[in-house]
Amino acid sequence: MGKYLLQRLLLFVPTLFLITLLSFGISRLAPGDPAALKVGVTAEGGIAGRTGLNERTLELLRRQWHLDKPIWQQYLLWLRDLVRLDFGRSFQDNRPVLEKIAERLPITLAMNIAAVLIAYGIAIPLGIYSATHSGSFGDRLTTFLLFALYSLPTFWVGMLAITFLCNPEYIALFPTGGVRSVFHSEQWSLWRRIADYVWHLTLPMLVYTYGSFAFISRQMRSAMLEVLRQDYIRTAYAKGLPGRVVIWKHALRNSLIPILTLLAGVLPALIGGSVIVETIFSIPGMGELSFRALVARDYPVIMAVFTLSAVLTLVGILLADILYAIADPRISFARKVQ
Amino acid sequence: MRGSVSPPDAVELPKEYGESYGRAVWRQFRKNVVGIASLGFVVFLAIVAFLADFLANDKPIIASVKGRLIFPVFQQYGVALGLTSWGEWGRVDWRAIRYEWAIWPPVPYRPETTDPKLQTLRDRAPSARHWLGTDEIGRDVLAGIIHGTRYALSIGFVAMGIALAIGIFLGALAGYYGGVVDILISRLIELVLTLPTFFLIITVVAMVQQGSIWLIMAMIGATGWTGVARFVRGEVLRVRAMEYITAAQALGYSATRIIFRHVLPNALAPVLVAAAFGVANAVLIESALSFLGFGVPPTVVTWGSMLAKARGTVTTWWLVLFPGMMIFATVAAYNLIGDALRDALDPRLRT
Repeated sequence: MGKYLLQRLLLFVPTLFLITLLSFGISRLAPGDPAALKVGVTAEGGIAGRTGLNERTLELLRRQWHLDKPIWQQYLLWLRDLVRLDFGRSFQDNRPVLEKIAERLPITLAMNIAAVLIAYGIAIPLGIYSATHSGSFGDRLTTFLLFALYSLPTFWVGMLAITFLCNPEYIALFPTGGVRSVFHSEQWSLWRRIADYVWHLTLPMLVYTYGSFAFISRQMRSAMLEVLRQDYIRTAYAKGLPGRVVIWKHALRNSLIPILTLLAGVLPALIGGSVIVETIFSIPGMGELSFRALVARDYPVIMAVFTLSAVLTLVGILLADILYAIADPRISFARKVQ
Repeated sequence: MRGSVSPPDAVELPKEYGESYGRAVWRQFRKNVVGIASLGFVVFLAIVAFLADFLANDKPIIASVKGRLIFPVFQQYGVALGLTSWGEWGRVDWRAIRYEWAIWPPVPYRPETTDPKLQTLRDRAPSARHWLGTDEIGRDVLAGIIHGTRYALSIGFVAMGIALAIGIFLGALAGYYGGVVDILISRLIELVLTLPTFFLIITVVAMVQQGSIWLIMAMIGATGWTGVARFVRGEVLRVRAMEYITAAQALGYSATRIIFRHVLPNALAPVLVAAAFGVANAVLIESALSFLGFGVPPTVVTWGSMLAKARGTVTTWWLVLFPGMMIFATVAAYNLIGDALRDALDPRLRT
């Protein structure tokens, strides 16, 4: 196991190298000059004239951000800093990128982990119910509802929620954004603080989770149906085992295998989704950070977020493989690495 | 808990004598009411997209002015194709002309037409003048939805077309040749799978300032081919082992001929399923990008960009509801078609 992990982690390195090379190339080859953007923003009136002073500022900024060097040198410089875990400074406010990310990561990570747990926690029992009651009214209803959920665009549901549920014109059940009240105070009891968080995060979490939840439930149902058709399940029934034991002990383990591998796809989807959800609900997380960085062409932040999401995706795939091996004893860790 | 178990059915489709595989799949698909209805909806969208200029336009379709018959919408096509010029109609306000009679499109606005008569927010809400309301600068929502079908349809099909081309090509190579080719292509698939796709697409599209609809299509296609490639690879591996392929090889056919004429036709049916889901996904990604404000230029009106207009204001519910409903319906239709196709290909899955 330890050896396997080490091998897998070593395999991360070339993959990450390729991914960063690709994204670095794309981001730098694209037109758009962050230095001009910066000067334009700081100068009064938005778009700065090309006065001598501005020319010099541009020059200085380009030199400071290494934009005057060829792309391959820029990449090597970036890579050198990355090895020292230095992502550079943000073009927007000159703060270290790592510091900005450290501020934003906890909330997004917490939302991600909660979303995965909630999605799997509801999807597995629901999928089992649907599969074992296949064809019944309950199954058809859940299948229909899950299908609708699966096709609902996140940003639309988020906007509908903001428009109708957070709006004094209609129903103001929830706040329009943020993670806690503006008027919160340190004197609040722990419960009051938790309640405040829950009040703020209920809608974003719902919007964040339902897509993967619907997807996993549908997969769980078909995986369970597939397993229930196997001969060994018929044997289990034939020897008189109660249905509960057959389903939860014999069938569940095998039907979980395809579901666990989905984790590899669910994690990157959630990372992408966080941009949308955090932007709609103004949650100060990684998604919102990257949205702002993209608008401002803040290369160091974009590259850092990109690298981090690639790492998270790779971790998701590794996690899926480990869970896969745990669920299926026929797969040994050693043989998975060629 | 009840756990009734049905015996496994045969995977082989019940074929009528002499029937091709495609026809057998179509016969199965036709039995699925939901699938057919969804297909009908997509065809309806295609008709709307095709006739968009006749359904929502700021010029009459046919009109009579000073005893002369004019066909402004047709003339618009002529001008676009470079066949004619507007001539005296160059800068006219079509609404201000005195017609003897005129047949107007049901929605007398183009998506870019701004209605200067609207002053307050209440004017912008759905009314007899603008059935589905307008955005903050007075552009008609219904006209935007009608013309947006063009983008929604072409995004899905072009993006998926690119993905299919890459996926089928690489999948067939990997499956047919095996060995080093297979290993290289499989590694490439894994690499693309590890990319945070949505984030990559946003990054690229946001980085390129002159964002165009073609760039978005290309990006969605370039990142969305892995599923197809894996499908095709598996199918080609299966088909390659069959005797008729050995026979073809023995006859000395070239690899290209065997792959394209003999292997692929028998390996493509399952790819349709991946394609249907892929189209749904492409529509979703494009509208999400437009919603975030990346991608299409601000003059282009897509369903997602209309939805984006609702951001920042809280009372313009019509800007949220109608375009979003169209995105949802379209995505759902493609997904339902994919589902129905999968059922048609594998009757075992039907329960």
